[in-house]
Amino acid sequence: MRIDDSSIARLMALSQAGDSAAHEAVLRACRTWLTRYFSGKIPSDQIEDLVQETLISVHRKRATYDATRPFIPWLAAIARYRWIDRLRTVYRQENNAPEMGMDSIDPEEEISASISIERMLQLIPSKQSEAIRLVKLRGHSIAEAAEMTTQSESAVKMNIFRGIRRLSALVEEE
Amino acid sequence: MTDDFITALVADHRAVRPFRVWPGWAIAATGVVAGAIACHLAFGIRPDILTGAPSESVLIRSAALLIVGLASLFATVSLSRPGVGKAADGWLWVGAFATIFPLTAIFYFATGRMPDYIIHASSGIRCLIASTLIALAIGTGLVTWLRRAAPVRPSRIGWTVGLASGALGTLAYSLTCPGSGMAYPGVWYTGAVMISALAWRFTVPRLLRW
Repeated sequence: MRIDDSSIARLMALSQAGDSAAHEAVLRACRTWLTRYFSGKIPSDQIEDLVQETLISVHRKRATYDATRPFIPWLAAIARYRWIDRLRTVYRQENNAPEMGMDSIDPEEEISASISIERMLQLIPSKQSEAIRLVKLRGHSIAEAAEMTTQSESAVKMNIFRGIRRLSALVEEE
Repeated sequence: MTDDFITALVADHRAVRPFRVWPGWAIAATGVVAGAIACHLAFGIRPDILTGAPSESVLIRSAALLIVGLASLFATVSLSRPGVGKAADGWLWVGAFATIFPLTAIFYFATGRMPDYIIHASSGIRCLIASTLIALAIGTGLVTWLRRAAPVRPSRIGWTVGLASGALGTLAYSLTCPGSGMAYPGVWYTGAVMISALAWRFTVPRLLRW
């Protein structure tokens, strides 16, 4: 799907007002644009993953789009931000992982933190807590978690996204 | 696969209140006014300002702090939303111009002409603490507002929040400050603004990660 900037800007304004069909059209147009944008910037097997991460950002930060301005520069800035964030994460994993041994972790803090996280995870739906536990706490990849939970990779990502949002709300309420 | 993903995101969709930039300006203005009132109650406004005849150095330093604060705040507002090709670098030029104060202080130090009373003035530490506290309040307000934003240049917005809150916090205090001349603000005001700028530069990116 290819949409010109003024059309997608109008759709985005409708999306902000609560029109779900417009929101879906925006996300689908964004997917096409983002896939092209990330091609050649990262390995091809990682493109879909980064496109989905960026779509989450577009979804979460849609309130920051100013409907009087062009849409593509807004999307391009978010895409660039997610891309740099991805590169930074990969760089950190490659350079710092060996230094972050168990010696640097206070055992008491670690135990109380995990008790606290486990308690919070019991307050959200099991599919969400399972996805967060496997990927964010135990370090499995999305693909591994999907296989272990018999969910699709998209479902695992969505459950992590929703679970973390619910956890954030719970933490704020506490 | 992404089709399912989009469908799931759409299922989560609802109307949102567009992010507005005016609260950023309102927070900064409120911080300056509240800070100035608090300083007036604690230390009293300078007599020359009260009589409507401020000295030249007070006018110059107030104008410099106001312009640095406004330019940095303008940049902060501009950087709060994603966008490509937004220069918003006026704050750098204005900041460069304002270095005339610390450069004057350095020149005085280098030539041995820095008066002892400026370095040892009891009002100097008071200036540093009061200005930094007001800057902390303004910066905290700005960061709270920015948590709904989507800054894509975290380091840069850290600098602009720090400089805006530092310059405007120091401006609020300076209305009660007994110091005069160019060397005094070059030492003490520069110190307060730089503490705020550095502190927010390194904390804002962590606080606004998204």
